[in-house]
This record gives sequence, structure tokens and C-alpha cells, in this order.
Amino acid sequence: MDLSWALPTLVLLPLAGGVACWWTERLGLQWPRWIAALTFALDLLLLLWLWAQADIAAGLLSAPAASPQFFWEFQREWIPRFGISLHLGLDGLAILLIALTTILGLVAVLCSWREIDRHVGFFHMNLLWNLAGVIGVFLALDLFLFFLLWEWMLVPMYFLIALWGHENPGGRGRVYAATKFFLFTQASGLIMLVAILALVFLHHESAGVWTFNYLDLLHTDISATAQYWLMLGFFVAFAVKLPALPFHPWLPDAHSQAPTAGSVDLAGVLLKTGAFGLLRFAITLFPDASAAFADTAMLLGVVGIVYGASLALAQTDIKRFVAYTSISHMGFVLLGIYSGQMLALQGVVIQLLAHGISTGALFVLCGELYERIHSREFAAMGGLGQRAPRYATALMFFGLASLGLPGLGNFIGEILILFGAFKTAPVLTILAASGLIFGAVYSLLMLQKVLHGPASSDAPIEDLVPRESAMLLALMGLLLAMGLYPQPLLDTAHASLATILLLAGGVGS
Amino acid sequence: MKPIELLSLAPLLIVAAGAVLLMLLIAFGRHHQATAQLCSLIFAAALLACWQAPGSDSITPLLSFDAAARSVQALVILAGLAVTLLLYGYLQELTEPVEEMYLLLLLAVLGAGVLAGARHAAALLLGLEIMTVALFAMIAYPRGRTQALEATVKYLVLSAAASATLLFGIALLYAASGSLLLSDWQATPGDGLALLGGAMLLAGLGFKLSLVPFHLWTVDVYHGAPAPVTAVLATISKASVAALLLRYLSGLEPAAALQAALSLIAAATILFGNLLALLSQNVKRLLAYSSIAHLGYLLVPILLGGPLATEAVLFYLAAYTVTTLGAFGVVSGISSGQAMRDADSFAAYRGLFWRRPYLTSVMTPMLLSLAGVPLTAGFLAKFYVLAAAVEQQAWGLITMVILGSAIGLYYYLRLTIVMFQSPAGGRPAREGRLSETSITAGVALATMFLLVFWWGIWPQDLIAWLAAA
Repeated sequence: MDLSWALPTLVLLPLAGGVACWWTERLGLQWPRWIAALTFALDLLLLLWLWAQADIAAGLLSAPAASPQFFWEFQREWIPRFGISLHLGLDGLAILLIALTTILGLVAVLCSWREIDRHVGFFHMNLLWNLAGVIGVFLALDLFLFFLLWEWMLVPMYFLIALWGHENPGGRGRVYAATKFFLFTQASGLIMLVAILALVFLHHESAGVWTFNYLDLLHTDISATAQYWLMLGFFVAFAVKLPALPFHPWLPDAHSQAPTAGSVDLAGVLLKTGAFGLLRFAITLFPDASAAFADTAMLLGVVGIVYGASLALAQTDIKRFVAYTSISHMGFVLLGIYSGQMLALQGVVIQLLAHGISTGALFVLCGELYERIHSREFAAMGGLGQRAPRYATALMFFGLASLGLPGLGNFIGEILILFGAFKTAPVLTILAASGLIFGAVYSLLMLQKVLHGPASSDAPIEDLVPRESAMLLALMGLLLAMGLYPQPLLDTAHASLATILLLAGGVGS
Repeated sequence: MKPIELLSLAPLLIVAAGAVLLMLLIAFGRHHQATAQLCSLIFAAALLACWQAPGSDSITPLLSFDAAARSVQALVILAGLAVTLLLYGYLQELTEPVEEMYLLLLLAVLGAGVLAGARHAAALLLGLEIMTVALFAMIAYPRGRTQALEATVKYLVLSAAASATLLFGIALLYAASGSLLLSDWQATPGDGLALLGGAMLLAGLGFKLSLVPFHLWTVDVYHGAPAPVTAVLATISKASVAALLLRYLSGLEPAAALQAALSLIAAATILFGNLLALLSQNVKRLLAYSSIAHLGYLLVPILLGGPLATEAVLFYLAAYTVTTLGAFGVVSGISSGQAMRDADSFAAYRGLFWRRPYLTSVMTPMLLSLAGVPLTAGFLAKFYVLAAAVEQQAWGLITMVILGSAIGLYYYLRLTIVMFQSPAGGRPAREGRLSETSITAGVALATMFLLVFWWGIWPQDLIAWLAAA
């Protein structure tokens, strides 16, 4: 069945929904919220339907395809002068990540229900447009279109942080955090644009035709030095997004000063675009250069794991704490991508999904706590276990997920990555495994500071309302399902990962 | 040459005849609305006249009809039309006679059109001087403003010096080549008199384009001039001179020393333009510095040459003109000619989203386009510049463009967010009434808004038009 029309629909639906949110604010503050929630729900249903229609079994039975296969592709001519077209394609990896995007989008809308009361329509428009850009990034197969959507994600997120964010008492403002985020991402994006242009020109020189099509550019004949520089150009942009050290300074400020929905969006979804970019573009377009760079990349990953974890231990602000644990978890992802093993790549996919859900949930919990006690400092918390039992259960669940408790998705992700990477880089993997121990330390320490110990004040704290409980229960269910039975997810991504591995050739070996 | 071939000159002829007609109209009776309407009609007719096949080079030795000439002529006429619409509301409240401003605008556009098509020293000088002298008067127009008078005097003196340098350069080139045609200058070997003459010519043109180190006049003059006139300075004046520079440099044989000198100028312009804008607390000065930086980006494909260069320069000029008109149009939209100064402090823009939501909806895409955010024409313009540079493998210049863009983002974003922040007193009330003047300005701004997005999302139309021109 030709469902190629569904691909632009996945992107256009949030766009249209965003505009509708902005206009309907005059009818009442509830209108934008409901429209945004419904838009994400619709998008999710469309994706689930596509998932059901996709022929996943075929990808499992056959040998890995030499060129990327997509369940459906959509292509329209756009700027023929440069061979740029509107080219979208849906494969297993994209299905999983778009599902994560729409689910977290819905969570972001639900958790902002009470928190955002100024310019509600404009807020939801920015949220919807941001995630429309992300969905487009997961679908784009034309490098110009990919770059355009990559940059598109930035402006709505800038507004989200700058206009609805929190101030840091004693620190720089939210505009500072938003600007830092924008500058880092835009500057690295421009470097990637130059790399894209160079790749297209080199292809033009060797093949005589202008094209920005990913599938055409895959086997361009380039010299080894040129390939290395181009790979670095792509790597910088994705490393800033991931974030990999030393490109991470934007993250703690942006995450802690964004509004809750912004943090959920950033940590849950935007970081995954960096990993996706590495998988889809960086290692496949430049296999030899990536192989040469693999050791450095894996080292950066391990350093990120240890650094993120160490700094998380030093934080007094709960959101900054979660932000640094994100850096730590994404270090595993970087290690897994450059190890060049199928098992590790599968671990990367599960880690992306599980991290998205668990960190998204943690930020939701941080936001809910802020709504109640108006502070993000650990000193203002304590003894919440007795004062808000349902909240405490949720926080404990996701704290344990973050540390990698078996039975939950994060464990599967991290352990598969470690198993896979051990074959290629045993020493680095041993160092990375210390991340599991660090994870335990910081998560349990956080739980102890927030939930146990003497209460910092006797004021009653409202426990979770039904809306919040339902949302968190759903996320808990997803994480448990991922941890107990991840095979369907691995099957969906199998064909894409196999082809990526084939194209990436000698990476890590 | 058959007389019918004179039709190729129709845009310029219409503007010239229109200037005379307007002058007679003003002499017979002063009426602001009628003058503005006639002026817009003249520009509209001239714009329509641009839609024709290119003329041949045999029509006149003074003017060429290549892609650069025709597209930039159309661009300056479009800019003239937009500025007319902006001037109407801006000048409405002035107590002194205002009709001459439209006459001066027509003359400035005429000069710019001639300059854009010039391939002979006479046309170059004619065009340059008509445009410059018209601008002198336009900058000082609101007589009550001492700041405007100061700006005019600065522009007058420095422009005279630059024109003198230019003339000296032309004289030296004439001595070296024996001809006043640009093509003959390009053919003369570049040493001795020709080298000196060429350098002085470039210095004179560099002044007009606000390239470092000839940029020192720019910010004060932009700041002092009334906002619509700043728009003219930033777009019409720059576009025409850029077209001339493109024509001159693309015909020259590539020389390493020249490339190096121009690369240094481009890098310095990008760097200084962006860094100095960081320190600005005034919107007009910020936009002035940003326009200096943009001319630096524009210089990159001009100096590098190559197959993509002409396309890149013309696309960049189109995108830059439309964006700058939009930005200065918003500034003139919230200012009035009668006031002592334009609304150019940051405080005047705080909370603009609630006071004037439509103006903010225009200003935000303009700023994002200047910053090079995708979906806007400014992004594709920067894409073209980077493409032209990557093709010539000018990695140093590419680094400067990226660095400049990153620095630029900071101050564009700062201004953007200021418009959305509520001032200390709480959310401000909605201002701005629907009136004849606001609608005319609104039409101009809406057109710029649409063009920025049309050329940003679907550039194929513009690319095809520029290639066919």
C-alpha cells in the first residue's frame, strides 16, 4: 500500500496544529492545550498505524541491503538548480524515534497544563513547531532539507526557553541560556552546512551531477583527507546536539532554565537527533574516516560518561543534576555508535528510547515539584517520601531506571552497548562500565536527598493529581515493557541498523 | 541600432521622465497624497517595464544589459516603490513641504539604475553623482533635526573625498588604457598607472559599499538619517555599487595580490561589522553595523569569482535588499518624521509584540533572515555565498563567514527577544490605528514579508528569473 502521503502529513500535522493553537488562544486558555494534545495524539496514532502496516518481517529474513531501504518514500522536486528535492523516507529507526517524539510531545503538553499560563497559544505553537522540525529531521533524506529542518528546531526552542523559562537565582538569566543553546547549535550547524556543500561539490566533480540526495551521495569518491575533514564537520554538529564533551556547555543551562515542557523536549527528543544524525549520516557517508576516528569518539563517550556522572554528584539544583546525568547516559550512546557492532547499535536504539522516556519523566517530576515548592534546590526538599507518597513512588521508579536497574529499558540499553563495545574496545568498555556504578551512586543519592531524611519544612505538599499520575503511569508502563520485552523494538530497527552497519564498513573493527 | 531597441532603456527612461513630470506637478500645486501616488505609479510602471528581453550592447556604449544590470535595476525600482509607501506615513505629520522628497527619491533610483548598468566611466560618474547628491538632500530633509544635518555634512564631505579618489583613479586608468570603457580597463595589464588607478577606483567604490576601512561614515549617517532614507542608503545605494563592482572584478584577470587584499578587506568587514554591532544599544546603529557585515559576506563571492559567483551575488542582493527594507520599514513604521529622532533605542522596542503585533511579526522574520535562519531568503543567500566559497575552496573566508554569522546571531536574537519581553510596568496595551498611512506602509511591509518567505521557501522562481535576466 502506498502510504507515502503519510510522511509529509506526520510533519504538517504539528505545524497546522501549532497555528491553530496560536489562533484559538483568544477563545480560551484551554483551547490551545487541548488542540496541542489532540494533535500529538493524532500524530502518534498515524505513526502507530504506519508501524502496523510496515513490513518489518521482510527486513528480518533477508540479508542486509546494500543501500538503505525505506518502507515508504516521498519525493517532490524543490530547487532543481542544485538537485534539491523534498525527499522523506520512513524506516524502522525513524519509526521508533518518531514514536518517542510524539509520546514525549504529548507528555510535554500534559505537564504544562497548569504550569504555563502566559501566552499559552504561542507556547504550544512553539512546542508543536519544534517537534514538527524534529519529526522532519528523522524523515529527511535530502541533505539540504535535513539541514533546514535541523536549524528549524532551534528557533521555537529558543523562544520556549527565553520567554517561559526559569531564572537561576544568583546565575545568568534564561535569555543567556537560550542564546548559548542557539549559538552552539547554529555555529556547529553552519560547519555541517559547509561539509554538506563540500560533499555535494565533490560529488558534482566526480559524477557531474548536482544532487543533495542522501542515497546518491552515499558512495561518493573522495580522498581520505577530504573524507576526514567532512566527517569532522558532520561530527561537530551532531556532537554538540548529543552532547559530547567538549561541546556540552550549553546543556546544563538550557535544561535547567527551560520550562518543564522545554526540558522534556530537549532531553527526551532533541538529544536523540544528534545520535540519529551520527547513525544515519556521519558513519554511513564517511565510513573510512569514521573508522579512523572511532577510537577518539569512543574515548569522548567514555569521558562523557565519567564527567557527567561526577558533575551530577556535585549539583544542588535537581534539574541541573538530571541534565548532567543526561550527558553521562549519552556518553554510552556515543560509545555504542562507534563500536561498529550490531549488538551495540541495538543497545544504542534501546538506550535512546529508554533515556528519552526516563529523563523526560524525571524532568516532569522536577517540574511538578517546582510547581509545589517553588524551588529546585535539594536543600528545600527532603522527607518527601512521607509527604507525597505517589510522587515519591514515581520518582523512585524513574531514579532506579536512570541507574540502570534490570527490568527497565535503560538497563537493556546500557548492557547491550557494553556487551557490543567490549568486542572492539575492551579497555574503554571497562571504564564505561564504571558509569553503571556512578549511576547507582548519583541516583540513590538524589533519591535519598529528596525523598528521605528530615523534611525541610512542614508545609503540606499536594500529591500527584490524576492527570499527572496517569501520564507517569503510562511512562512507567512503557519503560517496563521496554525492559522486559524489547524484542519488537529491536526487530523494527533491525533492517535499518543492519544496513547502517554494512555501509559503515570497518567502523570500530 | 533601431529606435525600437530604446525600449530596453524603458525602466530608466520612465523614471527619468517621471522625475520631470513630478517636478512639474509640484511646481503647479503641492499635494502630498497626489505626489506620493504619482511617484508610486511611476515606480510601478518602471518595474513592469523591466519585464522584457535583454537589450543588445550596441544600443549605447555607456550601459550594459547583462544579468547584473537588469536584475539590480529591477531591484532598486522595487526598493524605490517600497520606500515611497514608507515615506508617505513617515512624512505625513511634517509641517514643512514634503513633496520634494519623492522627487529626490526618483532621482536617487535613476542614478542607482544607471550605475548598476554602467560600463563606461561617464555612466559610472553620472549614476554615482546623481544618486549621491539626491541622497545628500534626502538625509537632511527633516529640517528640525540637528542629527540629520550632522549626518548629511559627514556624508557630503566624506563622499566628496571618495568621489575625488574615484575620479583620480579613473583618470589614471584612462592614462594607462587610453579609453573610458570598463572592458578596456580590465584588459590593460595591471602594473604602474593601471594598478594605482584600479586601487583608487576600488577605494572609492569601497567607501560607497562601507567596506572596512572605508566604513567609518556608515553608522553615524545611518543613525542620523530619517529611517526611510536609511533604507535607501542601505539598499539602493549598496545594490547598485555592488553590481558595478561585480561587473568590474569579474572581467579582471585574477591576480594573487588583488585576491589577497580583497580577502583581507572582506574578512575585516565581516569581523568588524559583527563585533561592533555587539556593542550597540541603538537599533539603527545595530542595523547599520549589520549591513556592513552583510556587505562583507557579499564581497566574498564577488572577489572569488567562479561559475556560481554571479548567481550568488544577485541572489544575495535580492534577499538583502528585501530584508533590509523590511527591517528599516518597521523602524520607520514606529517613528514619525515630525519627532526629533526616530524610535531607535531598545526601550522603544520592548514589548512591541503587544503594542504593535503586526509590525513585530514583520520585524522578527527580517531579523531572522539577517541572521540566516532557514526558511528565510537570508538563509539561502548565505547558502549561496558558502556554496560559491566552497567551490573555490576558500576555506579561510568560509571560516570568517561562519564566525561572523555566529556572532551576528547574538545581537539579532537579543533584539528579537526584547520585542517579546514585557516592560517593567506590565503587559502594554495595543497601539496603532488602522489609517491610510498605516495601510500604505503596511502594504510595503507585507510585500517584503511575503518576498522573504517566498524566496526562502521556494527560491526556484527567483533563481530562474535571475538566470534569464
